Amino acid sequence: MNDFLSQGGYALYVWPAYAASAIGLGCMIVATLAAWRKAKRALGALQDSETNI
Amino acid sequence: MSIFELANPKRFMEVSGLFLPWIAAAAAVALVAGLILGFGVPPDYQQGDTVRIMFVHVPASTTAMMAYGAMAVASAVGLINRHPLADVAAKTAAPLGAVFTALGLITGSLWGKPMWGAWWVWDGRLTSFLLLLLLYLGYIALGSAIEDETRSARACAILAIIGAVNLPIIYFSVNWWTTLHQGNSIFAGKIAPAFLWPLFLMMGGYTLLFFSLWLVRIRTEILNRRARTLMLSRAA
Repeated sequence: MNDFLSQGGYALYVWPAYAASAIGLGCMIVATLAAWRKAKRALGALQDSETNI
Repeated sequence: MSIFELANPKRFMEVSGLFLPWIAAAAAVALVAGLILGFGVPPDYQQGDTVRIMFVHVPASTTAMMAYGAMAVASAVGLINRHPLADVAAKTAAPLGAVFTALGLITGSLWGKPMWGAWWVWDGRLTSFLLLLLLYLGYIALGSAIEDETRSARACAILAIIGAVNLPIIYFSVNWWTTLHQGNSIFAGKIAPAFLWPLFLMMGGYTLLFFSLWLVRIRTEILNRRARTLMLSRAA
C-alpha cells in the first residue's frame, strides 16, 4: 500500500496529475449536466404555460 | 439515412438521445479499465512511476487536438452550408476542448519537472500547445463578444479554420525543432505493449467522454434556442 502511495518517490508529481485530471473532467461533467437540466426545466416551464393558456 | 438528415434538430435530438447513454457508458468502462491497468503496470525502467502520468497526459492532449479538429470541421460546414446545427456543434466543442488542453498542459508540466528538471520550456511542442489553449480562449471570447448569432458564428468559424493550421504544427513540432519533449512514439512501436493497453483504454475513454459531453451540450443548446423561439413568438 505504501509503495502504491509513494509511486517510487514520485508521489508529488503522479498524484497531482491524476487529481488535476479528475477535478478538471469532474467539473466539466457536472457543469455540462447542470446546463442540460436547466435548459430542460426552462423549456418545460415555457411549454406548460403555453398549454395552460 | 444520410448524415444530412441528422442536421434537422428534431431528428438529431431523437438519434443522439438513443446513442448517448451507450457512448457515455463505454467512456466510463474504458476509463475505469484504463485506470486499473494503468496502476497495475510496473514502473518504466527510465522514467520510474512518472510513466503513469502518460495515461492522463497523452489522452488529454490528443483529445484536445481532436476536439479542435472537430470544431474546425463543424465551423467549415457551418460557413459553407449555412446550417445552424453545425454552428451549434462548433460553439459547444470549444469549452470542452479548452479543458482538455489545460489538462494536457498541467499534467505535462507535472511530468516535465521530475524528468527534465523544468516545469516549462519554450520549445516548439509546448509553445504550439499553449497556442492551442489561446485559440480556444480567443474563440470563446470572440463568440461572446458578438451578440448577433449568425455574425458571431461566422466570425468564430473563420478563427477556428485559420487556427487549424496549428494542429499539424503541434504534431510535427517534435520532428521539426530541438525539444525535450519525447517524439511521436505511440505508432512508432517505441512503447512496450504493457503500457500501450492502459494508454489506448484511457485515450478511448477520454475521446468517448468528449463525444458524450459534446452531444449533451449540442442538445442543451437546441433546447435553449427552442425556448428562445417560443418566447419570441409569444412576445410577437
